[in-house]
Amino acid sequence: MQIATHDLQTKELICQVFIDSIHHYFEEVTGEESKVALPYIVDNDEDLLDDVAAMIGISGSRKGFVYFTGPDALFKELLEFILHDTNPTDEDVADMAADIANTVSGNVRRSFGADFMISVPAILSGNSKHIKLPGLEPIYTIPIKWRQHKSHVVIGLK
Amino acid sequence: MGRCGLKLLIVDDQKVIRRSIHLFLKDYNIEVVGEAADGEEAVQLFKKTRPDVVTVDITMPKMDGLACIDELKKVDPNVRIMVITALADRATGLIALTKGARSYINKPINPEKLIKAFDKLLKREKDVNANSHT
Repeated sequence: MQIATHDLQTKELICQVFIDSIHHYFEEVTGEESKVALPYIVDNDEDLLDDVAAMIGISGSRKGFVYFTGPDALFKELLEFILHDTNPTDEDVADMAADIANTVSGNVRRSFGADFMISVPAILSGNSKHIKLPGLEPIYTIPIKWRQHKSHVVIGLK
Repeated sequence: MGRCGLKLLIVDDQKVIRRSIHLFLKDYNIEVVGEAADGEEAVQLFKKTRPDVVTVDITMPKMDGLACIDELKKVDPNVRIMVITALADRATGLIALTKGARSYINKPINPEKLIKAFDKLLKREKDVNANSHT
């Protein structure tokens, strides 16, 4: 796929702002550092979804989506850490994912401004392992590790 | 009712945030009189419970937090509103404060951050009251 240099620089900047936002989330909530690996471009039909994914629609100055996806165990451990809840429901797990997606996406407005408009989160879960995201290539994914749990922030913006 | 003798309504579409605020303020002894998941529900609950303080998220379904502030202020112009939102841009903060919110803090929250914000909100109020009596 050909990407113009200025597009690449813009995408790199966007990824960096999201990386900062992810670090900030885990540090503020848990007092612990998260590890973020280098972002990479994914194909449109590549498996992207883990156990739970929370998607935020983006409109305004940019259009597209951001979603946070990770295993049940990550969200359960966060719920135990934050709320001392050792027996969360599926709804609680989905809500935890939604909160991360919302917070990480909302915080980037510090850099992108109020025209980077975010929707309320939508939960994607169940058996779906593919998501069709036409017209938003390249789609970047940022791998995250907190404690032993791996998760991803996936960004498709035009 | 506790040391500050106030009643609190929590408004956020994320249950984990409502539960967090409730838990983090457990030792603050502020009485949580209700929780709402959107602006419309908040206005209904506000009329019923008449809280002194309302924490309001901005990005919510049905009625967002900025519209909710307008509606709450119509019911009680003196209500203390603390906005707790992920939206970290200055413009949204200014709009909320212009509409009458007294405090604006960004998610993510943790116990220290939330208690500090409540202390600041109530201390400022105490200072204003003290100054008005001198």
